[in-house]
Amino acid sequence: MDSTQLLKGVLDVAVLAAIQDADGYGYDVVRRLRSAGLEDIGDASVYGTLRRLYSSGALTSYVVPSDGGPHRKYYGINSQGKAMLAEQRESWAAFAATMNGLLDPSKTPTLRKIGER
Amino acid sequence: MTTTVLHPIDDFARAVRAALADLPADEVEDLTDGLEADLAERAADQDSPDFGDPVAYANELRSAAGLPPRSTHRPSSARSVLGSAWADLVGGLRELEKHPLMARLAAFFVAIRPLWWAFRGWVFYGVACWALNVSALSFNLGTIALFLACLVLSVQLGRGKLQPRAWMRTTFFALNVVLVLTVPIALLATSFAFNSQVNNAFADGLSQSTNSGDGLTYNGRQISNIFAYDSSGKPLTDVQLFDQEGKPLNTVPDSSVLVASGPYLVPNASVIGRRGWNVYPLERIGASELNGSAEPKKNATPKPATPPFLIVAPLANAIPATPTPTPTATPTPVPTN
Repeated sequence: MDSTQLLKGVLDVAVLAAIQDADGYGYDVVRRLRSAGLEDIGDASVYGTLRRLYSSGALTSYVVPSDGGPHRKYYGINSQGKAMLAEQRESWAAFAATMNGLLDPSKTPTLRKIGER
Repeated sequence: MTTTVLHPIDDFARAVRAALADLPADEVEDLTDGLEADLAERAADQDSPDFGDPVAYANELRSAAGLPPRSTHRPSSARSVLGSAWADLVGGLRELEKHPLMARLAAFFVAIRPLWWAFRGWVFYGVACWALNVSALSFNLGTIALFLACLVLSVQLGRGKLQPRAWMRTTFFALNVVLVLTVPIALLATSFAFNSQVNNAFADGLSQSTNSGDGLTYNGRQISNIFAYDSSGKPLTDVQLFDQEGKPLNTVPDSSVLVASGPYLVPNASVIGRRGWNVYPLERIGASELNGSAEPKKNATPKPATPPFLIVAPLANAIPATPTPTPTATPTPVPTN
């Protein structure tokens, strides 16, 4: 299965999780997600998600000037973002459990013929 | 390892911003703020400045940010309208370029490029003629040399020989675009010039024939002298000829002294008030009787021109009829008494 399709649904929670402990700038967040195992995640998807979460009020943002290079725009999670993360963590856990149950080979429902009891 | 490859990053960032150009400027700024820095870091990470397709990147950025896709969004400023129009145009051209027909068309245009160079040379020539206030269609050594120079200039420009600097190429490209756009005007101007040339030539021809500027022609042949014979076939001298408007019928332009070639003809000296060019046959003088400025000497003595025929057939009504017997008078009877 194409993992990029799966990623689309969980981008928000993944990004929120990546910055829950430490603020990060765009590529920094991409790097954290990749090192966590989401190798196929697209830079632009992460930047767009950060931008959207910021617009919806879940993140704070501030600019850090750097010597000799361009400035960095850091994103940090706020209380609204933390609430959102907690809620989505629960949703994900329930969803993952359902999917695991559905896909568990030992729990594959036995097929019955019509009329069979 | 930190590889600083600036140009691919700048180019990519510019292309991404162009693909987002339909969005409000502050939105684009928010979305792409720090893009160069992120790209530079990524390039260093993956040890290559290859970022893939900027348009796909922009679309991903857009959809992840929850913004509407390109086509449905309404641009809000003139600048973003222009930007998106430009991005659409470039994108459309890129698509067109891939079509096999385009390759064939391109090959065709490359093949007819010399034709374009020649035409451009003609336009240069036209402009030069206009600047020098010379008629482009009056062909003489000077204008032909000028045209050849313009042609060489155009061809050398086409071969890229005369534009070593980038700004020259840009200027040249812009000039070419202007030229292509003015092709219809140039063609019209040429055809107008040609028409007026023809009309002028026609009018000149008319005025020449009416003013007898070029003398007298018959069936395209120049007439230099006229010999008249009377009804009995004998040559006449000192015959004055006039045309239907009463103007002297001259075989020689009135302004000229002599017919330069062949027998040197002179006007009849006995006409009062003007030169006797219409008195035929014109008399002639020998070449030795001309002075330094090709005019007859004072002591020149004109001699009669040699007629083509000493005598011609007389007219029918001039031939003496066979004598009719004159009625003999009947002797009147004399009265004898």
